[in-house]
Amino acid sequence: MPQYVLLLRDDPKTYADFSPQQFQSLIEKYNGWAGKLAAEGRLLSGKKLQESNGKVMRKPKGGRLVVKDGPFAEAKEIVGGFYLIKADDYAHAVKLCEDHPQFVNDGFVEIREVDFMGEPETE
Amino acid sequence: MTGTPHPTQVPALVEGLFRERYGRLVAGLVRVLGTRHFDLAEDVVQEALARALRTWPFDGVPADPSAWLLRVARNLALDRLRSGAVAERKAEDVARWAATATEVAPDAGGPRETPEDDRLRLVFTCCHPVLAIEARVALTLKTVLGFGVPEIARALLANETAIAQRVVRAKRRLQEEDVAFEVPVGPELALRLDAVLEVVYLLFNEGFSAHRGTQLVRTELALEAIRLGELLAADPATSAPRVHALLALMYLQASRLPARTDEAGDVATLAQQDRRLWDRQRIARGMAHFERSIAGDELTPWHVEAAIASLHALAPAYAATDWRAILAHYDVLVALNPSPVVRLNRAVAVAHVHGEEAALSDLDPLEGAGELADYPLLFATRALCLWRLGRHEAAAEAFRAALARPMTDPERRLLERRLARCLAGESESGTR
Repeated sequence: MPQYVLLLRDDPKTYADFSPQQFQSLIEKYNGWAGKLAAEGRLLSGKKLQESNGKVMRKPKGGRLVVKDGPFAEAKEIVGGFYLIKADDYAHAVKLCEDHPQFVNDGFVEIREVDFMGEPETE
Repeated sequence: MTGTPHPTQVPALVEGLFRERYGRLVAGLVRVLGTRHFDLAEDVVQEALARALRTWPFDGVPADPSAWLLRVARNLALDRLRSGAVAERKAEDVARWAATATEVAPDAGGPRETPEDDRLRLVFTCCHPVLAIEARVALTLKTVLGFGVPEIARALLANETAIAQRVVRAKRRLQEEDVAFEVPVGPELALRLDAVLEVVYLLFNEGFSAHRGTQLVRTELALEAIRLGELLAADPATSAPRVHALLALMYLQASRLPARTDEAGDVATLAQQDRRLWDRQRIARGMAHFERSIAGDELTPWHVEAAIASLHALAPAYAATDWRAILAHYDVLVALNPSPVVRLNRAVAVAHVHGEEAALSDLDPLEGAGELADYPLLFATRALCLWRLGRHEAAAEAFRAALARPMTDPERRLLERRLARCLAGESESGTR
């Protein structure tokens, strides 16, 4: 079955003024979503990415390799984490994400299919 | 990499966990850092909750969420102290606090008294008499009970900006005064305890009978007030008879909450309520606290109000209410606290014992004094008395006067129904 990486992007500052109750209910919404996928055996992995550290590497034509700290904190939107899920096809993956709580606060989800290049999936 | 981060049965977080943790963590940090660093304590705890939101959806809820939050809050506090060059000793204190504040469960029994003590200290700090009552109420909701500013504004039917400013100013005041983070002892305690109880009572009343808005009752707020009262009652230092009197009053009143509104959110009056819906457990707790409140020679208005509430709670039916005993209590209450609202409530008892004419002559001076000019119940009570006497036109006029005052939407609907029935020439039956 095809696999999809879901990259969750949002602006962490959105949550700065949340009340304790708001934090808790949003966590519960996320858990509800992930728990449902896990119950269906579709959730393969999920990882949080650090938000205050990161590197951007780049080599301009004819120049030297440049390694910079990723200025994530100032960025409007950053990838907070990702999930790896199984779905029938893109349409199905989209359907699975429709009720994702990420959209409640203006975040967005990028869906990319894992390209197995015709090889059988290992998962 | 392929491990399932979310087992199919994720244990749900305990209801209200974050709100409760907020208060406890802020309390612990303020004790360690001092009232001067109130803001730092709150920032750090806020950030810890934000980190939980950013992390748990991907990594799953940790096995011990409270311990996770404590650890993150401690680390953030230590970072802030290092960068802010606050005395090294403070950092040691934070580390020591975090080591001792670890709890197995939020309400585990036994001798783990430090976190509870810190919460009590936080209550006394937020309810310090250097702050006006409105500031005390807002700050207590914010820091002790973990409400957000919009939630406080909703609970108190106030403007968000005004609440935010009130909280900021209150904290600044406490920081400027460098108010000691402690439960006072000796002669100061009684005075400071009253400042706390005033907040508890106001919160309860705001939840039990709102003055405006779409809902008659905001149960959550009333129950939070009871929780605060329990916190005071649980500590021998603050467990004064009047604390038990106030708790008795709150439990007995709250026992009627399930019956006070119907499914449509309409008011069910005391006469109409289905008494089978009354919460027996709250009545029992109310009576137990009432027993403890009379151990001693302290007599406060709350003692008398609790006694009145107990007579209602124990009456098997509205018709069986002992109005003579209630009126006798009101006489005591008026002597202790001759406020217009108390005198208005006494007039209701007078109507039951001595008739409507007698009640009306008690209401006249209240109306003349003008202190209750915005209080719809004054006019609604007059309207009911007049209606029962068959004076429909005068009653209708009084109903209209009541409807011109601020009140909740359910109360308005009740009065409008009564006005319509009164105008239609129906008799007051006490059923609708």
